[in-house]
Amino acid sequence: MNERTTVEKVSSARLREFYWDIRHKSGLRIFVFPKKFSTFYAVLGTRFGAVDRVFEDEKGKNIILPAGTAHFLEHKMFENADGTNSDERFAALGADDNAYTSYSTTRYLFSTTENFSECLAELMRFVMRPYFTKKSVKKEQGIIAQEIRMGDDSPWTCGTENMLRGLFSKSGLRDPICGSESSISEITDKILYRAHEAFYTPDNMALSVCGDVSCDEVVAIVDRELDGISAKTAARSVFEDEPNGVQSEKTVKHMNISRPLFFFGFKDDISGLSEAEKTKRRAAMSLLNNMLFSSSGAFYNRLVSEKLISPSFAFGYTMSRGAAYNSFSAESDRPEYVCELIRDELQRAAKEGLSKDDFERCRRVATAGYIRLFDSSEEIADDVMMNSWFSNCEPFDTPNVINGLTLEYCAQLLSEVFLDERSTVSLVKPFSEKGNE
Amino acid sequence: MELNTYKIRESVLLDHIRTDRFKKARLTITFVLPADNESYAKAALFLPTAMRATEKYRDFAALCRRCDELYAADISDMNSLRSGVCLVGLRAAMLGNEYINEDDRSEGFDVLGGVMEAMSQILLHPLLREDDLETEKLNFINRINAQVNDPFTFSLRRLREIVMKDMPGVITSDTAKEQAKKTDCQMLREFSESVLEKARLEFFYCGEESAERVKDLIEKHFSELLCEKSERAFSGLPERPAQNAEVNESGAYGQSHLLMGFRSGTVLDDKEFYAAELMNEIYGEGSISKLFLNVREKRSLCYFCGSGYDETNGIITVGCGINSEDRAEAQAEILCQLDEIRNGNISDAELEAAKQSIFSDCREAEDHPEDYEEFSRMARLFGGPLTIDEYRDGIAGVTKEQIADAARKTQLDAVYFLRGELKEDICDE
Repeated sequence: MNERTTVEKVSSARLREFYWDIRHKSGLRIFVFPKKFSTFYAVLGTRFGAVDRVFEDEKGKNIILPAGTAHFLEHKMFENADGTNSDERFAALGADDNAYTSYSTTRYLFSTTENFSECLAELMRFVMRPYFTKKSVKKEQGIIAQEIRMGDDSPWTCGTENMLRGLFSKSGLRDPICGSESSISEITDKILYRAHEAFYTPDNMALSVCGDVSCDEVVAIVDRELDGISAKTAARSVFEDEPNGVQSEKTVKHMNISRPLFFFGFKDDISGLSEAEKTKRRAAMSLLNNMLFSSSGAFYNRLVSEKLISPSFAFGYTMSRGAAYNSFSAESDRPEYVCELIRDELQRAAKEGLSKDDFERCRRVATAGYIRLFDSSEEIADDVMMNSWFSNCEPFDTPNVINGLTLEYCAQLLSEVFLDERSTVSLVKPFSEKGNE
Repeated sequence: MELNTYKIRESVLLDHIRTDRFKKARLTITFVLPADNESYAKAALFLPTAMRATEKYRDFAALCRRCDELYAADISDMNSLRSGVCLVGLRAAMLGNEYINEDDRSEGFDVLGGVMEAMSQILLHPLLREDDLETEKLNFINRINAQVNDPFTFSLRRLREIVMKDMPGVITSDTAKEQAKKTDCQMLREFSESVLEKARLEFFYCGEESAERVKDLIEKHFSELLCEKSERAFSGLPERPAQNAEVNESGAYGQSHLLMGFRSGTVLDDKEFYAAELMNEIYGEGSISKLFLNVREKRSLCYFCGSGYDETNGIITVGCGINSEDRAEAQAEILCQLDEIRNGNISDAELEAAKQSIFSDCREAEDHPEDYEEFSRMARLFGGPLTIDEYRDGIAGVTKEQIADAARKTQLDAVYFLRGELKEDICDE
């Protein structure tokens, strides 16, 4: 909670943009990004995701939530006590609405070209005023069970989940976001209310709006819709300490697929880092990965021209609450061999050093990529503003962070982060290869 | 935003939108030709192979590095088939000059010029090497084989093969793979020459540059393409009655997939088009459609059930992922909801929400210039409304009775069911 609502204008000369950074008296953080687009986009998010399985109640007792609770709660939020459904309300206003749950957040959003005020009021209203019944929870279990089965048939979902289970032994990243059919059968309306009460508090949430809107208009709607909402502080999630090593070095799953897929992960240790250090590390890891593995580099092109991988080679660095990792994935007839080549390439680069030309080229690419995000109200509101808030960094700082990176720092990360003893390989193989290992 | 069309030559057009609304500019170069079953693989292989090496950019890495220098310009190939029409070309997105480094800007760094030069290399000076073609053939075949990785995508392709079997350009996966294996560099060169010389050519640009500047750059970098094209007439699609086919297959998946194809008998150029569009919106588009509310919300049979209408050929596709034991119930409910529309059971709220959703899409097009490009091309190829305003006015005037008529005209053509038969004990290690 804040004593009063404060408003600050934040500008970027490079981008020729500005936004309003509002700290509402309720504790809610609000970003208003004025943009002369036809589409208004708003997203209301909370720091409550799949990893938040255990929290401390008012008496200091640990409350354990079944896996998939955050996602289940997201599904149920759209039903209202008066029997209406917010999907229908948004449709009547000409808006499209949606929601999604990740490992560390849940977000509710709408996009519209008219009736913005009414839509924003509806968003605030239905998210902050939950309504669950035993009957509706039971019905939803059937729907989510189908969503789980859809994920179970996806080799990318299964491969990634197995990689995370290989990397982490204690982190909530081990659990699928949707949970399992078994875990969601334990979810009740009481559990959903408990979770909402614990984590859907204004001080744990942020609202991001982009479109032809004014700051005053948004604040007035939030004032009205949060009137009467409890000013409780969010519960504290409890996380076990994650050991340095990995849970397993290799997992193999067989599925109905045409060729093997690999998901190669390296766990990173970010404990003890400040928010500024985390922001810098995230930017540097992204740049480093591009230097070594992008389609502009020799390594990727060798893998493709030697027919070792399909062209869709994915790589990246992910930082979630308290955990971070690098990952590489692709289709390959020789997945273990390609993983060895990736290891060799990392060792070669660490030994021979990084190219200054590549570093500057990739820095230019990173900056250009960031600027291009500002062409859609959805990307601005969600990818830029909301992600920045969840990462505890300021949205317009990204170019400065990129400019402040050094080749030496990237080289330091290269030698620190990609350690064999902190790596795991998750393989998904066709049924036809079962028994050939 | 206003789209203006300029005729550069006979059968060579430029669609141009001048705006400073966006930070990135867009450029597409599209060759439009009749779909031809025999050229399916060549159309798919031509540009990916060309991008691997050109006279100036001797390998793919060199092309990518050049794009990086052009402030992360993104050049990609495109190849699509749409109801007897094949579209082959290149698409580029690039940062506007206003946002590049000041040093570069003051020295006259030209992002658009650089991108056009790179695109002209791909189209006009590809090396089309044997090794590169072999790599792309393998990628093409692997992509087709990989459709089994996503059972819904696989099911959709199977339904399409059944419903559109008489349509030019629709061939089975096995035929496509065989064609690819037989393709060699000489065939690719002949195909390339034929396309560049004869196919109708359309440029699309959206960004801060004027039409005059864009036309000048086109003349500079693509003069070899700017000859008069032999205008080949697109033959209409074969008419046939609904076949009422049913195909059942199985696969090692946990979930089953039910896909149903309908013939609406109405396409873009028909006066009933707007009613068919609204009929589909009410039937299965979005989270308040009849399919979503009944098959998912009311009966909890699936995570998603929806429909899609292809206005160029009149086919409506419905799909959902379900438990196999729920097939009969899901199929019956999907047909029941269509009957509801046929019987005129459309509430005022449903009709209003459907219209508002489409009106909203029309307004949103202002933020998505690719929508303008698509709209303009569709009108040229398949007829129908010439502007987004005309489309919106057509939707506004539709009545419930017209929607019910459109539904009564819609007939089930084929059902495809992929039964999931996964044994748990062979899953994990």
